[in-house]
Amino acid sequence: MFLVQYKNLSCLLLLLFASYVTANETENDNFQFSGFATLGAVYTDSDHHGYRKNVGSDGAVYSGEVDFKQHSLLGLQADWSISSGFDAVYQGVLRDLPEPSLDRYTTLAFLRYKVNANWSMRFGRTAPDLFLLTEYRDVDFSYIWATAPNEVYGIIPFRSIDGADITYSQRGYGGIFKTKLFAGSSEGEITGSSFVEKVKIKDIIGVSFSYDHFNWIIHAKHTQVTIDNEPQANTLLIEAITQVPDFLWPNSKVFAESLLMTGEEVNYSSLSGQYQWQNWLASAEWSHIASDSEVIPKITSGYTALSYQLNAHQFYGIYAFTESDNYVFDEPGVNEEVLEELIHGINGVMNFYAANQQTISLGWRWDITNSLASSLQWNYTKLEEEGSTLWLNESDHNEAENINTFFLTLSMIF
Amino acid sequence: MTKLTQAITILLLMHCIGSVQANEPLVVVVNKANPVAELSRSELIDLFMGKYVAFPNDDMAIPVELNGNHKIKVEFYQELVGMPLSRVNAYWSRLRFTGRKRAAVFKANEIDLIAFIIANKQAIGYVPQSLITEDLKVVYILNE
Repeated sequence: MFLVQYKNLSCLLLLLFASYVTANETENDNFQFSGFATLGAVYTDSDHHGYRKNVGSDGAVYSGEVDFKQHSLLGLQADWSISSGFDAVYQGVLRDLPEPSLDRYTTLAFLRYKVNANWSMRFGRTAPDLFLLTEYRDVDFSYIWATAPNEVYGIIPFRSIDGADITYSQRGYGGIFKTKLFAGSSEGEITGSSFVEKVKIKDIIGVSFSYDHFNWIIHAKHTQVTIDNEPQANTLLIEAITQVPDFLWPNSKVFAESLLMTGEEVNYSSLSGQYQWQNWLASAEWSHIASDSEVIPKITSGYTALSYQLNAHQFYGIYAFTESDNYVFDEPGVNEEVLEELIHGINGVMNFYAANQQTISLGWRWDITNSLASSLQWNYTKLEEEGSTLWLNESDHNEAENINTFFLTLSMIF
Repeated sequence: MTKLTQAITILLLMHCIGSVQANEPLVVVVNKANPVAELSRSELIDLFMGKYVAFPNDDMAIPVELNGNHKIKVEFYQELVGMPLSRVNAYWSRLRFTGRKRAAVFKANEIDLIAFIIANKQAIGYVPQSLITEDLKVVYILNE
């Protein structure tokens, strides 16, 4: 495992180093090499709920620990301008991953054809445009906060889409209208305390609208995907349910089939806006996840944020929330005493995606230089019972808890 | 323009560089063969902030930037969008590292930048007013 990871890492570094050398040697305007990096420390005060950046992380931070893995990363990018119409981009992001591979480290790898000022097309691997920040949430230097609100972004395990997109831009009413259509497939990992599940989605079709008037901007996005594989935990649970005799649970097979996730649709929607006046910047986003699958509840999330700039310093506050229904087993005619353990497992699977929490954040960003910034952020999270999907639980402890989390990040571009 | 004339122009520019006055107006220039006569402030913002990288006639543009923390670059963005360079860099890192936009062409100094504009009809860049030559066309004047 370690050797495979080492080999993949070496390949990626070698590839990007070769690009860097080529760019320097040729001093060619058509070839550029750039990157971004974050060194991030996280401290939290919970013994039971481990903080993690998103549900794809199999590691977490508990009380008394200072973690550098969750938020530290290195992104390297090569841009090749092939002709006036065509260019190609490769980006690799090195970070702590549950299933490391060259494929997972590769976040962008596409060929773009710019037809004219209005139309452009990309083919290959692009960043997912599901919500406002999903394309650049790992480029920490690009936004004020130490981290994008987990309530909205922590549930998304996908870092890229393999497919194509087409964008139309048009000036109008003093601003720029943009419409993007994209399609493709994607893979990611979702982890629990004792498992790593590969999640595959296909038939992704998404649309993104924006109107940018420089000091204010609005976005509307909607994406539909189809689940392309059955999580192992689901498969095992379905097998266990189908083996229950009828006298303990009549029609258990019908219930078991309702848990199948393969082929079910999931819809992601987002509305967001940003307004800047003088030294103030206000932003807000509302997002919604809805699915045909019984296992994925409706999840509504959002945040509102305000920041004030004073020279090289920005002070900010964020309020974020996520809400979803909790499942409670209530099937008729089931002998719940005998099947207590199985029902516990069903409740666990059905509530796996249930996230219910609110966070208030206060932070300070200092632009140390024009390409290096430090952010210090305090999160106070009110975590509700059966709503801790975004955290890692080492035990069955799923009780409500109020948690303080502190972030100190150093982010840069080069 | 012959190569000899270009070389003489560049030599003259090098001579002028040392005498660029502090706070003199910055001008946005294009190749003199570019049909665009002038640009509005919002069109410039669209061009240099990667929102709509084309001239008003919808011909695609190639913005040319100065490398790093060049004093003229800092002054240009402060005048154009009222932002310090750190925030402009943060904004551009969103466009660049999501692969939404092609990065601008970067040049080490004003001489190289002017030479690139003279050689490229689609190029657009900013220089102090005293560096204007007959091979360039001014399409906007900042901090007059």
